[in-house]
Amino acid sequence: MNCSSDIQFEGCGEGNLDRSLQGPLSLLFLSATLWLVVSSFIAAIAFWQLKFPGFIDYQCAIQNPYFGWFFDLIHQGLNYGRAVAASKSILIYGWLVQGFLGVAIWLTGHLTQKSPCKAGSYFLLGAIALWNLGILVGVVGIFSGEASGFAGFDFPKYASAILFVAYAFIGLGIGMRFAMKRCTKSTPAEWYLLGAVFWFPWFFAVAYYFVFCKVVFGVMPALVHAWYIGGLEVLVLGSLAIAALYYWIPTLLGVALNRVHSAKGAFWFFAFLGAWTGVRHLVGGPIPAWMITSSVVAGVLLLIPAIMIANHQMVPLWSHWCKVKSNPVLWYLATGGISFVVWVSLEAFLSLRGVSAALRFSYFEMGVSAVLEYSFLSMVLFGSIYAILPKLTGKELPCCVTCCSKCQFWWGFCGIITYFTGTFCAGVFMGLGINFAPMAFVATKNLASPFFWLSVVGGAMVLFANLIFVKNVAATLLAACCNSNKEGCCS
Amino acid sequence: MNGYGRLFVGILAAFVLSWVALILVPLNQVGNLMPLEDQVTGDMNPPALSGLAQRGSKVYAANGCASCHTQQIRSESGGADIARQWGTRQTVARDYLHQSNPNLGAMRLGPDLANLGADRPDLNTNSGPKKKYDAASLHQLFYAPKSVSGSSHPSYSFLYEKREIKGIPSGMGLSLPVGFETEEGKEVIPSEDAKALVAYLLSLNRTYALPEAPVKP
Ligand code: HEC
Repeated sequence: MNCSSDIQFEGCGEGNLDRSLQGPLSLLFLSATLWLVVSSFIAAIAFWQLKFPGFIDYQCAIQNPYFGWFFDLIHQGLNYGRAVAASKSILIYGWLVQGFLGVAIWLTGHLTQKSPCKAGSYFLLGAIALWNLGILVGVVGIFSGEASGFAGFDFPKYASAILFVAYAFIGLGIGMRFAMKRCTKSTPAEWYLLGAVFWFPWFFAVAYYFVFCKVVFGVMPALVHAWYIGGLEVLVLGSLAIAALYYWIPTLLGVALNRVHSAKGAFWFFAFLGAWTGVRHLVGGPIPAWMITSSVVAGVLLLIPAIMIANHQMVPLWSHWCKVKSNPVLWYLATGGISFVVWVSLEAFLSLRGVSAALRFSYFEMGVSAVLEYSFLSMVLFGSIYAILPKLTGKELPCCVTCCSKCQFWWGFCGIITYFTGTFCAGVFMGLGINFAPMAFVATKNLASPFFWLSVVGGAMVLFANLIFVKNVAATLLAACCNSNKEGCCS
Repeated sequence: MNGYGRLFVGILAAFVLSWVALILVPLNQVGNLMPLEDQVTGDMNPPALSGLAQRGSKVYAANGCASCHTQQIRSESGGADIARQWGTRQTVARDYLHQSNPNLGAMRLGPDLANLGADRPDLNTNSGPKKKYDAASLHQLFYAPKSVSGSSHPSYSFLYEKREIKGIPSGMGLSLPVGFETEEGKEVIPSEDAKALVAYLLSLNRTYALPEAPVKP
């Protein structure tokens, strides 16, 4: 069937589409970006406490009769445990999930050629505002001591409920657009996108039920939590990032994907294996052994679709290196795409029995999750946002923004490599130390200390890159906003 | 059925398959576990958790203790957990039966706490069995970690209240070592949360034998 015929449906052209999405998506990307920076700062505060445990301590509160309550509040809210929970939750739901939902909304518009009507735009705006409200409520909840204690699912019950409702609106909207699409020929980007949009609420709902409704005690909530995190990492965020890559690489390069006939196979492989990987986070833990084994095997097998996907996406980039060199958006996408394979390999490596005996529970885990969260997911998200912004505002990115985006890339890229090297070495020394029982536990930390500082340097570079990113997004939206006002006056 | 229909069925199947296999099946397997009676002493293993300890488990979760501490002992081939005397055997699903949040943890920036409340025969004195920590030493660790030698523990002093002594001291005040005492006429009282947290920590004991996890003599 000829897909271009869709464009006439309801008379929504491309220009119209971006205009009707401009308001909601500007809000969405701006708030996602702000959450990213908030999360980085809180993570920095948390990290600093590992070396200087007392630096936000009560002690100063006793000495200061006027601002004592303030220091007390800071100490309560930002002590290591709560700060880690807050920064991780903000990173996942405020930045990654929200940012990728924005990409999904935009992609849905362009893949189905349907723009929301005016009421739809306001509806979307409301859902996005509600999502951000949910995060705000959740963060305040964590700071005031109501975290659930399940890492990555830390928001209290009420905040998670708000997130779910907000998501329901967004997800239904995306689903309906695809349901109304006339042309039934679908592209790889759509499979991953639809999969993620469908999987997220189900994983979320099951996790919500087991974590908050307290129907079963024992290891079951922990098991469901591990399963949920695996689903979120691979099937939701991973899928959305892969969808974005499948869309952007051919669009920006103007060439076809490599060997794309195998894409369907790769997708089903990915979909069925992805949902099994989460439980490997409990290797050696108190759950039935067959679950761990199957999950480890699924994680190793996930390498096959990962390499197939990378083959579709990365080979065209490689063979059009000149175009890649001149377009910073493609730097981000290429880094993200390669990091996907790196991450899948690292997780598979970490789940092997011997390796996990030594490295599990060490700083190395922080490094692996940073590869996922930053160098895979965030990089793809940065690239997508830089690609979407000019279409959304209807103008090229301002010069200074393009320039700064290169600068941001190098800070982020070098930062994450430094951070990963630091956590990897620190993790190896710490892990080996802990597994060498004659060594005192506290001494294992000194062993890791020099490398820990390396990761602090890397983290600071990433933080700086994130600051450049906010500046860029804000500058682009501001420039568009000012100009459109002027145009409005003229016409 | 058009292309999207097939796609949708596949996506649904991928989810349902993993949900059935990894949630429903284990729910029947570990969700139906029961405490077992000890043949010798007649105690139930694992012992029920007091209400206070149950509340302490929430305090533990809410303060992110699990971001530094695990509560799971791996088998001897899976790490040096037992060699470090964090436990006498591997922990199994039945051990967590009464916990609403098992607090398994994913990082070990601090030692494992799965058996913090267990008797430690190696520390025994003449006055009988001894645990590694008693309530007072735990309160000291959380209120003033700097007063514990060699400790870099984060402080949880906000779980304690410092107040004027009116009349006679309440008797619940912490006794802190020299150099860390409270000012004259004041005492430091643990809040309900702090008491619950300590009760929870002292309840952590997985040293009893289970058929699926025997203790090696
Ligand atoms: C920043 C990481 C960190 C956090 C967060 C943390 N701890 Fe610790 N904990 C440690 C370290 C490190 C030690 C090792 C001894 C020391 O430095 O005092 C320790 C030791 C302990 C011990 C003594 C264990 C032993 O076997 O000697 C207990 C009990 C304890 N922590 C409980 C808690 C509780 C309860 C919380 C939450 C309220 C908590 N910890 C939060 C790092 C942490």
